Amino acid sequence: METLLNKDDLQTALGEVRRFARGVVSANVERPEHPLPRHSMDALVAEATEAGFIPDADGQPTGLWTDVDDPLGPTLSARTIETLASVNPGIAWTCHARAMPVWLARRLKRPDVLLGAETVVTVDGYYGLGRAALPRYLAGVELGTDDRAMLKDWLTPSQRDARRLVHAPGGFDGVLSPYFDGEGIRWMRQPSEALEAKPAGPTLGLDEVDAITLASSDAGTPLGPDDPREAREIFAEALVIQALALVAVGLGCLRHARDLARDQAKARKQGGQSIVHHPAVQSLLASADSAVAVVDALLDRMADGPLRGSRVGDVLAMRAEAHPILCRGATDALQVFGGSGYMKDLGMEKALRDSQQLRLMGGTPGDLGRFVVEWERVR
Amino acid sequence: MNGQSHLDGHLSADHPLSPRGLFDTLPGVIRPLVTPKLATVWEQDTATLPPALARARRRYRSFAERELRHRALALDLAPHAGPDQVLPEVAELLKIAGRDGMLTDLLPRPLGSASLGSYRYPLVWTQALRTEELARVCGGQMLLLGAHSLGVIPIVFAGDLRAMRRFVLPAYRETMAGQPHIFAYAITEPAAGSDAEEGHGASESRPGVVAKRVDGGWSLRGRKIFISGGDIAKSITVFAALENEGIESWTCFLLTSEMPGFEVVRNELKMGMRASSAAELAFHDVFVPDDHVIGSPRQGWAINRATLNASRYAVAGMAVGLAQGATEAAIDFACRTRLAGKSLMDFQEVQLLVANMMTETAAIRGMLWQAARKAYVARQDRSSMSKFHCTDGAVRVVEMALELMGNQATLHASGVEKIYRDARLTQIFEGTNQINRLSVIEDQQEQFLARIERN
Repeated sequence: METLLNKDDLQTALGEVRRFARGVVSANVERPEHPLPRHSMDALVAEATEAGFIPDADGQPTGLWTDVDDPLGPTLSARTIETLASVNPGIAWTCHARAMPVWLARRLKRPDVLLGAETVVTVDGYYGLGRAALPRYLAGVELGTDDRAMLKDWLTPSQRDARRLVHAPGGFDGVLSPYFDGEGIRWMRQPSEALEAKPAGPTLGLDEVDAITLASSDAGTPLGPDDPREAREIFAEALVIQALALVAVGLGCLRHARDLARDQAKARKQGGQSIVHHPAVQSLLASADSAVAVVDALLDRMADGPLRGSRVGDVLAMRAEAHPILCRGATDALQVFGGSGYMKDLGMEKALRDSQQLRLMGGTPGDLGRFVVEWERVR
Repeated sequence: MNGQSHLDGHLSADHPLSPRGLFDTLPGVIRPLVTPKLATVWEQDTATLPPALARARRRYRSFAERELRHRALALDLAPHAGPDQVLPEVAELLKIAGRDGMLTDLLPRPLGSASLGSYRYPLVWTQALRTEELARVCGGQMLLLGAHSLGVIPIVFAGDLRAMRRFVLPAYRETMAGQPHIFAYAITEPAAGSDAEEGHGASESRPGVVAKRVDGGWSLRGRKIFISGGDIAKSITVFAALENEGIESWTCFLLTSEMPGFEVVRNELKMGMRASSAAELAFHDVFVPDDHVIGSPRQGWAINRATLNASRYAVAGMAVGLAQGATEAAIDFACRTRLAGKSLMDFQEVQLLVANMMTETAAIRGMLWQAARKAYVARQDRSSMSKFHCTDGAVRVVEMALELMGNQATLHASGVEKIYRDARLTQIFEGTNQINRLSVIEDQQEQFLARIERN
């Protein structure tokens, strides 16, 4: 494998992302109690695309998830997302979401699915993570009747009122959805009208990102791939990318919350001294610090090497550990502020809500754990 | 009905190995000892209460289901009310609660609507049952109604009959006449959060509201923050230090919202509990006549500590209610959601989560009731233990509910994400849980000092 990126390139690229995040993004998100309006989000995404952080479907793609065959490519994308998330998790997630269709279209060798359309990729099914059926399928094990029923119902639920939840960055007219065709997980392009897309209303976190629910539907244009092995590899890679993005957003979010808590602990006085000297506060700060350190190391491991579907077990195992740690760190950082932490204008409560939201997207830690156990058993 | 006779992994009641049927084969004298009546956990728990409290618990549940349930999600999303606004839905709820005696059941007639029978048991137990049942349905509305009682308690603990007759009696009459008279409790100051309730920190803190002696009364200047219901209250029990003295001089003053110089500066935008406001109050040389001092000058610290020792049981009750609400929402979701032809309740991992939620909720309820049932004297150690342990436990339960419901839990319509936001406050207010841990030690320190001495 030819290595195009080296560590200096990585640091240079991330330096540019940091300058963009602190110089451009932060000026738009100074009031955490007021979610970024749609037009500002669109303008920031356009600037991020112009700066080369988000791939442009119409031109030579550079940016998130475009160098994933390079050993340092996944790291560059994950750390770019983390850096943006340290200023605003919703913007970071939106940039990731904008990049996903380009990655998938390239991976499916179907660039035509992007032309002239706002497209969203969803990797999630209706509920959970396909239980044991998904790891069995991805490991190439012959599927039984129950496995097939599970994968079919997970991706295209039969329950009448079941609606899939998609976090879509604003208006869109098409969804690239996985579906189970009886043999494997393949992709199709579904027009939003066929899915009776409805705004889901407010969600626990990621205030800047619209949540939309979709009706279950088979309607759409199949995109392949035809090769069963390729189909398994692409879906596993999609899961890996999603896991990297979710943990990267969570880590950036916690880093910001931890920094605010440190500042607060130094500045606020109680009992005649700065509260940073109180062991009760120190234990909260230590929790946030160790959470940052542990997840930082996990993200390094998760993103190590070129993108490979075969790493899905390891990556999801690490994600299962990362989110509870991130949530613990975020709640302890908030606690340093006492009552002020509960108020929206400081941004601490937003960091906690975002952390919890990320824990529940793309499979919960429990779902991930069950995936990993079966993956390790059968692969 | 789909005719399902049992959950996956379990035996149906008519299976030869099911204890349900087998117990019927035991001798008649033994059978009643091993065969409990089928009942929900709530029914089982209610049956353990003394009759007066069981009746109260049923009444609170009925009120919450009838009046709070349908307002819960809408009030959580209602536009942020400014300091001069009362949302029509909030005004309506207060009137209904007043009419139903839910704003006046702290004290007996003629000062309130509580029955004398309820005083056979510790007041904190009744209040904990109340906050549990209301919070189970909506944390925000529970706080809207409960913060009022917190504003009245200092008058009770001052033992000031004159003040009760002068302030509480007319408020009771107004409320029963359809004009709710709300009280609020104002202790927290911008430069003093939890240290306002902790001895060591307080001894060093600089008072944020100061009362200056003037002819015929006192002039109050300063600010209070995060005052639940402070914007809608007509009467506020405000704690202020006397001029040129420390917090040991704290004195409780009864202010009314009509007093010149009183200002509601703003209402905070909060993470949760959004049906209840958290107001910042400013006192611009507010003249407070001498007969509005609750108790005596310099008794405020004692009144405040006694109030918190009582009210922390109620916060523990809120936590139990929020845990119960989350557990029920998760069970409801698991029973109505199907995956690959099965109800989620058929999956063992879901059953394990449900069992953990039910058990943790039962455990914190058991701890609270055990502490409250003999709390004729509200002990600091027991109230703080209950507060921090129950609120931490409740947040763990709500997180389990989020885990069970997965990404569907993130939707506002699920109700569970709201419970999470509501529950998080209980770990912060009435003293952070860190401060409450230290309160336990403070209350027991003579025991520790004696042991140190012996060594």
